[in-house]
Amino acid sequence: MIDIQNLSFSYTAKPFITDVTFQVAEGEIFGFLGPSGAGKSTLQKILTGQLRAYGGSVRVLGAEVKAHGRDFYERIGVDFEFPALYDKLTARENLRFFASLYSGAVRDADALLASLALLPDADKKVSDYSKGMKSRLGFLRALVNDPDVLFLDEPTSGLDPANARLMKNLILEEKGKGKTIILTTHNMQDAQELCDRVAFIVGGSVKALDTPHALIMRKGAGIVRYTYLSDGCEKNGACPISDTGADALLQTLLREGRIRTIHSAEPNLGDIFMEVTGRALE
Amino acid sequence: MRLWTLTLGDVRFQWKYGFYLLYAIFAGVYLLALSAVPQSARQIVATVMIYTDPAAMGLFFMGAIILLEKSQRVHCALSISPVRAWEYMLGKLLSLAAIGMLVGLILAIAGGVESLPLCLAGIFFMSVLCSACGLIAAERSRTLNQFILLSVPFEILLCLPPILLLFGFESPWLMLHPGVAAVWLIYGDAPSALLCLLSLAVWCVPALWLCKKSVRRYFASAGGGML
Repeated sequence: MIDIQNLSFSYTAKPFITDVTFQVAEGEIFGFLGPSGAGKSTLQKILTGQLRAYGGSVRVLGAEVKAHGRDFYERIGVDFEFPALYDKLTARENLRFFASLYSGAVRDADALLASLALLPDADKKVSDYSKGMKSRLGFLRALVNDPDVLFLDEPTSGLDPANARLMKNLILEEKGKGKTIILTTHNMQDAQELCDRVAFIVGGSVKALDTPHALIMRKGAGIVRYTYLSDGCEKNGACPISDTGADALLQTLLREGRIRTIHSAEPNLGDIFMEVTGRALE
Repeated sequence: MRLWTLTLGDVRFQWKYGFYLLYAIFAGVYLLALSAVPQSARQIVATVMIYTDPAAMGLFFMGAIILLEKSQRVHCALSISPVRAWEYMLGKLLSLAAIGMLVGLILAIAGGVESLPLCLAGIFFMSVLCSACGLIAAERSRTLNQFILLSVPFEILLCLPPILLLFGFESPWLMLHPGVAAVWLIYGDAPSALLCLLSLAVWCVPALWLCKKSVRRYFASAGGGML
């Protein structure tokens, strides 16, 4: 569905994206994970044909992006990080207007609005929407043409947990329909939960690429953290899960019944990102 | 079909932002002013009113329209839709020409211009030309002040020769100027209506070509680079 070979791109004389190569299969959710300014959004813009002065090869939907005409946009949907909607139009009017720009079959505006709990506010002007409501509506705008490939830039940014959940369910629903989804985010929970594979992007290049599980397992098993009482004070201890039998302090504390709390902690994508790239995500 | 959708979309955009209300007020004020003008001078005054406002409104209003779109990032959404640059451009130009022709027609009837069809043709071509110039200036502007500065050269180029004509400087060569050709058509006593129409149509060709290039740049700016 998407095939990138030796991609390079620059806004100035200084290279920004360098030697990026990867493929995304049909029906896959692929995540670009990286801190702000890492080149994630630039990669998305190259894939959507908004930046065409790139080097290497970028093939989306079977053809080089540079060679695609405007009909390419009949088959893709793009959700921007910031809302791109008519403020003075209502949510329903916005969706109907954008849907009317496509020549193929489009989705019903009301059904879309209902899917993200916006139907009760369908006749409200977008200027009266909250930031989170605009984000949800922007996401729905990307779905109006029932695209084969969906590009999402920080889709859950600014959403409360309940609406973020709704949106993530909808993303998984789209995947269930066989849509290919490119998710650009610096939210490791979203990436871990939604993506089949993720690419760590830092400084315009891919530092690691694999399934979230495989990346996490690179670091090995998790660790055991515990707290115990010593001289009337609570202290902390930790050891790898594999070494619990050999940790003398832990064994002593268990025998003497001085353990107050104990739990295992697995690394997450954020930890792995930090380890691989030496940078924090947020 | 998409051109029709875009044109209607622009009409709705202009309606929602109160452009039509503003124009209804302008038309009312112009009609009042015309009624106060002696019958003998009414036609020339109506011509000046039509030329400087309904026909040229795109030159002023396009700045507001494009800057509003930029502030709402709507051009980002359009840049990743199947909309072609020429469809977007014509949608804007035709929607402004429609309101310009409507107000121009009312003023032309009130002013008693000689030929309504020629007058409407003059308004249409001049509106297309001015709106294209307005779009070119607006695409390069980030603020209203920038737009006003950038549109001044277009205003001077389009208005100076017609002013010369009004002050009695007549020459058939002036038909080659689109503004003069439009004024003659609106007034209704062009030396050659066909040549005036031809002159306007010819001027529209490079204006539309440059305007289309501006729209492509406008869409590309949504992605941060040139398409």
